Amino acid sequence: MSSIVFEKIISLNFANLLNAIGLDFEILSSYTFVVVCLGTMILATVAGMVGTITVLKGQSLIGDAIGHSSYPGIIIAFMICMSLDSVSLMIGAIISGTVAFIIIQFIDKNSKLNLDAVLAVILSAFFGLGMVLKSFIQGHPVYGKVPQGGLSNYIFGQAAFIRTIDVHLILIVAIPSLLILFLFYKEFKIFIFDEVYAKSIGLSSTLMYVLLVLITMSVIATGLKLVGAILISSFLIVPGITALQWSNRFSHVLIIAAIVGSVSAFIGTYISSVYAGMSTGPCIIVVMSGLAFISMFISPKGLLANWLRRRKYLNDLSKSIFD
Amino acid sequence: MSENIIVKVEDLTMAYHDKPVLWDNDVNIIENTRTAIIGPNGAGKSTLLKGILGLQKTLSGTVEIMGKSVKQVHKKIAYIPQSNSVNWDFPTTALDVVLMGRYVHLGWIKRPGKKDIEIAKNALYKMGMQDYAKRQISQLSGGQKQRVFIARAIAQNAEIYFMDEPLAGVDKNTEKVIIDFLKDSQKQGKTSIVIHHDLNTLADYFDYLVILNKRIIAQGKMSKTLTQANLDAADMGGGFKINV
Amino acid sequence: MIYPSLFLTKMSDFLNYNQQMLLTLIITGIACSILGCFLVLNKLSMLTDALSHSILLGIVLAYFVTKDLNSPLLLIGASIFGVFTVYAIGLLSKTRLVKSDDAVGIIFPLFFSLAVILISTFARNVHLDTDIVLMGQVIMIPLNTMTVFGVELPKALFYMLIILLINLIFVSVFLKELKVSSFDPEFATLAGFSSGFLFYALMTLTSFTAVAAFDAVGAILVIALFVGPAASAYMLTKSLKKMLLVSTVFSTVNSISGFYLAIAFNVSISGMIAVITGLTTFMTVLLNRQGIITAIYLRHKNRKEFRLDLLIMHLGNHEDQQDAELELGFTTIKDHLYWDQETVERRLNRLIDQGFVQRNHERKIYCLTEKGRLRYDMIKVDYGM
Repeated sequence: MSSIVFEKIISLNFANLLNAIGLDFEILSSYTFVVVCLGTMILATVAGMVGTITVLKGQSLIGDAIGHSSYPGIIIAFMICMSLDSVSLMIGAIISGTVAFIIIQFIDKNSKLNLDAVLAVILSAFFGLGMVLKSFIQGHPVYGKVPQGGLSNYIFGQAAFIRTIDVHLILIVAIPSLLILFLFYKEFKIFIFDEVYAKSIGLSSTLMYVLLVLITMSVIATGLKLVGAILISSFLIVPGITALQWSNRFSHVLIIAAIVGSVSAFIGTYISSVYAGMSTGPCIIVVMSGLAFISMFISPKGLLANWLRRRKYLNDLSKSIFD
Repeated sequence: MSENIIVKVEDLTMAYHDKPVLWDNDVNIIENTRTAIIGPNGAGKSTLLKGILGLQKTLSGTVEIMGKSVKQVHKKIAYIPQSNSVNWDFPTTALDVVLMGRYVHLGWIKRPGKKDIEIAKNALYKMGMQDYAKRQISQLSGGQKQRVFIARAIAQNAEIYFMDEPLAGVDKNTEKVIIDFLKDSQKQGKTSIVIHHDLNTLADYFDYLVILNKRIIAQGKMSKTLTQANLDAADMGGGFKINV
Repeated sequence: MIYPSLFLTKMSDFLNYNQQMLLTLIITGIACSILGCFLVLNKLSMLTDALSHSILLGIVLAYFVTKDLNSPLLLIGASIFGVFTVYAIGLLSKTRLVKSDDAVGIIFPLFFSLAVILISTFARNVHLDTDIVLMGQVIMIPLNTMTVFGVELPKALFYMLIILLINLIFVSVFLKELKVSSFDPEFATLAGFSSGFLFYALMTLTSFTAVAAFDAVGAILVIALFVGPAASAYMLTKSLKKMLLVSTVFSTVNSISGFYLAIAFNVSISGMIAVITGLTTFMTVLLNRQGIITAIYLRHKNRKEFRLDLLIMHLGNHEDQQDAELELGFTTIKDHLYWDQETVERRLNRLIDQGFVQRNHERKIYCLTEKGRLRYDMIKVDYGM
C-alpha cells in the first residue's frame, strides 16, 4: 500500500508537485530566489534563536534601538573604505551598534532616566547622525564620486539585491553564533533564569553579557542589508514571542523560534518574488507577525484555550450549583 | 561537639551606593549548625550573605569558607536567593530548575547526564515535589517554588546552605518541609545559614544565632544569644518578650 | 503699493526662507516637548517610536480614502490610526501573553511593514517616499504655503501653531490631573480622575502632534523632539511647571543650534537636530547636580572619609580586646583590613596627623587618642549603632 503511494510520488514530476500545492516552480528554481531565500532563511533562523534570549531578558526594545543605531556605522565605514564592500559596512554597523549599546547602559546606570527614554533619545540621535553623514557625502567632492546608491538599502533592506557573497557572510556569522548558543546553552539558561544564583556558582555574568551582545550585534549587522535598520528588531523578537506561546521548555522554544523564523522567511521571500515591487523584509515581517498573532490565539496558552477553559469552569460551576 | 569554624568572616565592611551597610564585622559560623541571622530591616542581612558569597563588593575584610576563598569552594556552597531575583517568564520546568543545581559540577559546556537527572529527581522527591516535575515553574505556588529551589540546593550536594529568607511567604506545610530538611541535613553533617524574620519560631528552628544591625550585636549558641538585652541592642526588642 | 498688502501679507516679506524654517522647527519642538514631559514621566517614551513609525500606515490608508496627499482629512485619519496603534499595543499587553515592551516591538514593525508593502504595490506613482517619511523635508517647509486671514504662511507652520495652541490649552487645563496621574496613577484613580481618559487624551494629542510634525521633520526627529528635551528637563528640575519650562528652553536651543550647524555644513537639518538633542541630553546626564561627574566626585570623597572612619572604628572596636596585638599590630593590622601595608600606613598617618590616632610603641599597636575616642563615639551615633 505505502509503496504504491511512494512510487506515485516518485513518478510525479517534482515541479508538478510544487505546482499542485500552489507554488511556482519557475520562481522557486531561479538562482536569485534560491540565493535570497537561503540568505533570509538562515538569517531569520539565527535571529529567532538569539532574539529569544533578548525577549526573555526583557530587552526587546533595546534590539530596536541598536538596529537604528547601527546605521551611522554603515556610512562611516563607507567613508573610511570608500566602497560598498559588505564586510567593512558590517563591521561599521557592529561598532556603532556596540557604542550605542554601551552609552545606553552607561546612562541607564548613572541617571534617574527611565530606560525607554534613554532608548528613544539614543535611537534618534544615532539615526540622525546617519542622516547627517549621508547628506554630507551626497554632494561631497570626494565621496560624491564613489557610487553610493546601495547605502540607502541599509535603512529598509533590499533582500532582492543580495548576492552569493552576502549569503556566505550570513553563514560566517550564523555558524559561530549558533555554535556559541549550542555550546553555552546550559550557561545561557541559568544566566537568563536566575542571574544571582548563576553568579553564586561562579558563572561570570559579565562574560555572558559580552557573549550575548556579541552575537546579537553580529546578527543585527548582517541583517541590515536584507531587512534594514528600521525593521531588523522584529526578526529578533517576533519568532521568540511566537515560540513562547507554544512551549514551556527553553530548548523547544529555541527550536520553534528557529522554525517560525525560517518558515516566515521562506513564505515572505516567495510572496515578494511573485508580486513584483513588494519588498522582501516587510513581507517576511508581515508573515512572522501573522504567525505570532495566530499563535496567541490558538496555542495551548492562547486566548482561545483560555476562553474555553473559563467556559468549562463556569459550566462545571453552574452544574455543581444546580445539581 | 567540636566547634569547627566553617565560615570565617573578619573585619568585613560593605557599602551600598556609598552608604555603609556593614561595619567592620567578624562573624564565625560553626560547622554542622543551623545558624539563623536576624536583624531589623536594613540591618544588612542579605548584604552579609552576598558579601560572604562574593556576589557584592566588599570594602575591607576577608572571608574564608572551609579555610579557602569562596572562588575555590563554589561546589561546596549552595545559595538560595530571594525569589525576586528570578525571571519567572522563563520557559522551564521544575525538574529543569533542579537540574541547574548540577551545573556547578559539570563545568563549562558539558551537559547534564542520566545520573544528574536521577539526582535531580531524588531531590524533588525529598521535597515532596515529584508530581510537579514537568510543571512550568511560574505555575507553581510560592511555597512550591521555594521547595523547588531547595531541591536545587540538594541536587548541588553542597556542604553549606545559604538561604535568604526561605520562609517568607510560604505555607505552613512548606515551612515544615524546609525546617525538617535543615534538621536532616544537620544530621548528615551539613551546615545551614539562614536569614530569618520570625522571632517566635527562632529558637525551635535554629541552634545558633547571629544578631546583626549593621554591626554584629551578638553571636553564638541560641540559648546564650537570644536574650532580651541583645534584641534591645539590635532595636528588635519592641513588643517581643523572651519566654524562658 | 500698500493697498494690496492690506489684503495679502506674505510671510516671506518679513522672514526669509531660513527664518521660516527655523520658526516652524522651534514651534514644532515646543509643541512636542510639552507633551513629551508627560510621556517621559509616565514611562511612555518608546510609544513615540511606535507612533512615529506606524502613522505611516495611517497616512497610506487615509490616502486610499481621500486620494489626496494634501487633504487635512489625511492628517486626521493618520492621527486616529496613531491612537489605534496605542490602543492595539495596550490591548495586546492586556492579554498577558506578551510583555508590554514586546507588544510595542511586535505592533509597530508590522504596521510599518504593511505601509511599505502598500506603498510599493498600490501607490508607487504617489509621492509618498519612505525615505522622506523618516527624514522629513525641512527644506520644503517654506515652499508649501497657504493663506490664512489674508496672510500667506507655510502650511507646516500654521498646522504646528494650531497644535501648539491645543497642547498648551490641554496642559494648562488639566495640569493638576496630569500631575497627579503622572506621579501616582493609583491615587489618581482613587481621587476620581479617570487616568484612562487622560491617557487617551494625551495619546490622541501625541498622535496628532506626531502626524503634523512628521510631514515636516520626519519620523526620527519627532522621537527626539518628544523625548530629548523632556528627559533633560526631568534630570534638572524638581517641579512639573519648571520641567515644562526647561524642556521648551532645551527644545528651542537644540532646534536653533542644530539648524545653523546643518546649514553651515550643508547637511540634513532634522538629522542634525536629532544629534544635537542626543548630545544635550547626554551632557545633562553628565553635568546635572546629581549627575555622573558629581557622583564620581562625591563617591571618591565619601569613600576616602569612609575608609578613615572605618579605620577609627576598627581601632575602637579592638583596642580593649585580647586580640588587640594581632588586630592592631604595626605589621599585622593590614591583614585584618585586607588592605596592603602601604595603604594602611598612608591612611593611618593621616589619622595621626589629624590627631585621632597614636602609636603605642610599648604594645607595638596603633590606638586611638582622646580625640579619636570622641570621634569613635560620634561615628557610632552617625551610622546608627
